[in-house]
Amino acid sequence: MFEAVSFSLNSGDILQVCGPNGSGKTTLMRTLVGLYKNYTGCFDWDLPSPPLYLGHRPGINDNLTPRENIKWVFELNNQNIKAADIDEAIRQVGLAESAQTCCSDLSFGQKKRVALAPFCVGKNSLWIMDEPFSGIDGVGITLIEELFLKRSIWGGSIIFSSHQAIPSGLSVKKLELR
Amino acid sequence: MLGWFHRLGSPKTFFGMSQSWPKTFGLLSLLLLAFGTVWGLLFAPPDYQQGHSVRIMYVHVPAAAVAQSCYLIMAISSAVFLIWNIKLADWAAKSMAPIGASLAFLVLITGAIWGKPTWGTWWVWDARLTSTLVLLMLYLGIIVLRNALEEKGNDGRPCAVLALVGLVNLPIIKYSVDWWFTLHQPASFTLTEKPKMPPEMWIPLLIMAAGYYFFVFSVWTSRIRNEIISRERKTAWAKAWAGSQ
Amino acid sequence: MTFFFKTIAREFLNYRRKPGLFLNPLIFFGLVVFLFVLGLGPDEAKLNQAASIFILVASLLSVLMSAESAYDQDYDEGSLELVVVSSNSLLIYSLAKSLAHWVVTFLPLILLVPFIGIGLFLDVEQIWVLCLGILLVSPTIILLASVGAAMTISLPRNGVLIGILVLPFYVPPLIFVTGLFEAALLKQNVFPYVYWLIALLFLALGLAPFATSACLRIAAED
Repeated sequence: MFEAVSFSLNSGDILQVCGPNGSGKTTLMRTLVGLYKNYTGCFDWDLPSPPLYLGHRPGINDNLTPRENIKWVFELNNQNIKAADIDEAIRQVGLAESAQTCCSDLSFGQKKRVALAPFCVGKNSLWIMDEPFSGIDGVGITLIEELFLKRSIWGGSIIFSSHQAIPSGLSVKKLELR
Repeated sequence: MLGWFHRLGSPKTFFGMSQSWPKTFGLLSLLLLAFGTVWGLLFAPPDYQQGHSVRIMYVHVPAAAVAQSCYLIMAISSAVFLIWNIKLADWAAKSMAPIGASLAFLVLITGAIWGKPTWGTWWVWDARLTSTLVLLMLYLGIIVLRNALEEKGNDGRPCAVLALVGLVNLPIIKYSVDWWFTLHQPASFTLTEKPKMPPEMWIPLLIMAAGYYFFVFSVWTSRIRNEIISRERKTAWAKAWAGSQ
Repeated sequence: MTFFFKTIAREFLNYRRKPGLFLNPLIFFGLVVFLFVLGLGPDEAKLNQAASIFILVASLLSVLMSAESAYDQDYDEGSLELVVVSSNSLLIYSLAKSLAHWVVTFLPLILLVPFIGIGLFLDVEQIWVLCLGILLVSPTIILLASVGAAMTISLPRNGVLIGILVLPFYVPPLIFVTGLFEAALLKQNVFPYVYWLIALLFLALGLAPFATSACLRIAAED
């Protein structure tokens, strides 16, 4: 899919994987997360907890409310999360009014924000996000940028893919795929 | 030895190695089948109970044995594919499934033809017949799943898992069907292919079995070769081969 | 262990939000039995002999209906990927889903069976045996259906496909359950069949979840 790739990341770094459509960004993301196994080479990282992953499909159960979905993501990561934190996350992504509606009634952009909510209060040390900017509006973009800013202050790392240049003042390492 | 197996896993090497296999195996099988058929149909002694209708045994019994062996071969290929991720093993399993299915079908049909004069009925829910029917259903299930997966472009690993699950379940199915039917209807007729037969009967049977095996290998390697050349048709070596034909 | 219970809780929540997922197969079950009965006619003697088997086979078929939806939804939404990415075991995940699936499919069914049995002229003894048989065979059925569902998870319209793949494996449990019914009818000892069914259950429990989680992993990595 793509030629040899190598990079290194320190804590607090943000890495943007960019390249045209079909260059293998999603495949790289999936490889890093462990979903794609057909590769040669190795990568090793020193992580206290598994990375928090945002894939192409938001991983949202349409029959549950945003609260329940966010709660599930934390249960998956074996993190105890208090109800207040979930409410805080929902407030940060701007879905406070829709907190009790089933996700089937939300738009795709709103669902994506539900998927982003765990990133607001999660304590994972590495985020891997595949095309986080696709499918959301300007408010959502600002939200993600704020998240990135807060994140790097704490010392967590982010690897994300996007084939758009994101407007921001963050120092971002770039990995170009062809 | 291990190196040979490793090289065998490469489609290109296998293709080169197996150039003459379909024809050689096919020829051998033709000879053996012809010899065995003639011996069985014309020269072997008739059964004291069944008369000449026992001769269908020479078609039916080897087919049954080989149909089961085919499943085992398919399951082993599937296991190799799942464990070592050798795609050729997956293609081998895929190629074997229709062969096994056809043989199982042949067993059932010839069995029915044999049954009519000997038992008076085309079919009876005897343990062996039912478990052969289930074997056919397992083959069909694998073929159906394979087609559905390929339509969608996914890889064949669920099929491999299914083949292995079937392998585990096959003895259970046989055993339970055996148990069920011996409980309710003791077999009034045990198919007489144990070596209580005179050599004039079991030698042609063996020859036919060998012929069947060579037939299966011939068709199997031919199908694997088709699979290889069709899947690798964009590579340089495949184009070169096609050009030289 | 908490992951196991959390998964079950989530499954129940899902079923509560969308009751059609388990009610529709139940209605299907009732209709299939109804069709069988219509086919055989109102003759009490004939119905009595065959009723238990009809009910059993109808329940097998209705499980195939609900198995499809048990796994497809997670795959389509991307939740399956999240489970694979997290450090949790797919084995526990599939076991939890199977357990929830069982509770939601077979408990209502077993409660419904006495009423259907009365309609099919079964006497109390037979209804007891029928319930026992279904109870013993149902976990095996659910586990095998999960394997079929996991194998076909990415394929559309896979309800029928699951049936084709899994029905041959239903043969041993079916054989032993019919043996159970016959033994009860003839007033013989039913316990050998009970033990056989329990043995099959443990065999399925020991093997099927591995096949299911292997297929789930294969699907997520596609």
